[in-house]
Amino acid sequence: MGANAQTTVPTFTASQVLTADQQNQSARTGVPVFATTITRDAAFGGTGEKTLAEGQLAYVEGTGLQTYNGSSWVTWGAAPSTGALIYLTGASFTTQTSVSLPSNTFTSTYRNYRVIFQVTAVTADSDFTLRLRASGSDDSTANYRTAGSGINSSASAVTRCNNLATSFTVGESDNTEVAYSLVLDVISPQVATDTNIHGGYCFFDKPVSSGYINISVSGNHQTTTQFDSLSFISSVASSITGIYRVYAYADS
Amino acid sequence: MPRPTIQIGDEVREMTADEYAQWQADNKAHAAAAAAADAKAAALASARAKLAALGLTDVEVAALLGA
Repeated sequence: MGANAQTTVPTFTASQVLTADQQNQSARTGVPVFATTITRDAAFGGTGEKTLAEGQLAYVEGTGLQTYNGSSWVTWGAAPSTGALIYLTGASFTTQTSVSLPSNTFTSTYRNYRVIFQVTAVTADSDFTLRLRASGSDDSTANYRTAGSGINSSASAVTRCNNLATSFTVGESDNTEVAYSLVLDVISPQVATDTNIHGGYCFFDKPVSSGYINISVSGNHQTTTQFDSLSFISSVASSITGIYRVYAYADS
Repeated sequence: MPRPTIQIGDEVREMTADEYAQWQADNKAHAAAAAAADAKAAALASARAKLAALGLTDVEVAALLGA
């Protein structure tokens, strides 16, 4: 008999004193609803939480009804209509050096993702880089290529590129005028093929007198590594404050 | 002296020794690349000035330097 197998479907009487086991039996027979697969996975196995086992039911918003078969989650029926973008996760950060999305933000559930980083303050002029991440570690191999070109507010051309570098280069920020934002599509991070990024970012240059800069950027990481997260890294310790949001593109 | 902190999701922690070493190495490499780029830009500006001093027009300088 599996951990989810029941031997009774109880009915209680008025004023009956329930044991913890009886209450657990009742609490665990319902279908828990989770905002994302990340919050679903985080809800099992921790202290005071139920151990995930075969037969567990869950409803994930935007995905639908799922059952756990002992090794993976199986989705039943058609997913509810959620629109083209599904919110996955987000957080704010204060005077950090590096900010990573939670592990398993990128999963096999979706193919492509949109990531938005906004830096609202920096403690000193900073350069920013981006690394893909798998199993809790940044990938720092020299497999990153970045092709960024744009224009500044004085109408001069600007480039931000690197080749076979150890990270994507994604601009910088002056510390007196902070208006950095990055909007990025991450293409197939969980597929065993190249991971590409496409998007753009804008910022005040260092020094700020050089003007406001907009860069259209694409990047390639030419390995078959399957990434589940990424990190946004500042060159200055404890320097960046801001917010990020991550969305998945619906596949149907 | 404590190492810089990083944030993963909502968790904030100090960098591990390996992460800190990587971050320092990144900054060293980035500084070297930036210095090389600055030197190249300075050489280009110097070349423009010298060519202009020889009497070349802006169009001729651009044709010679490719920009």
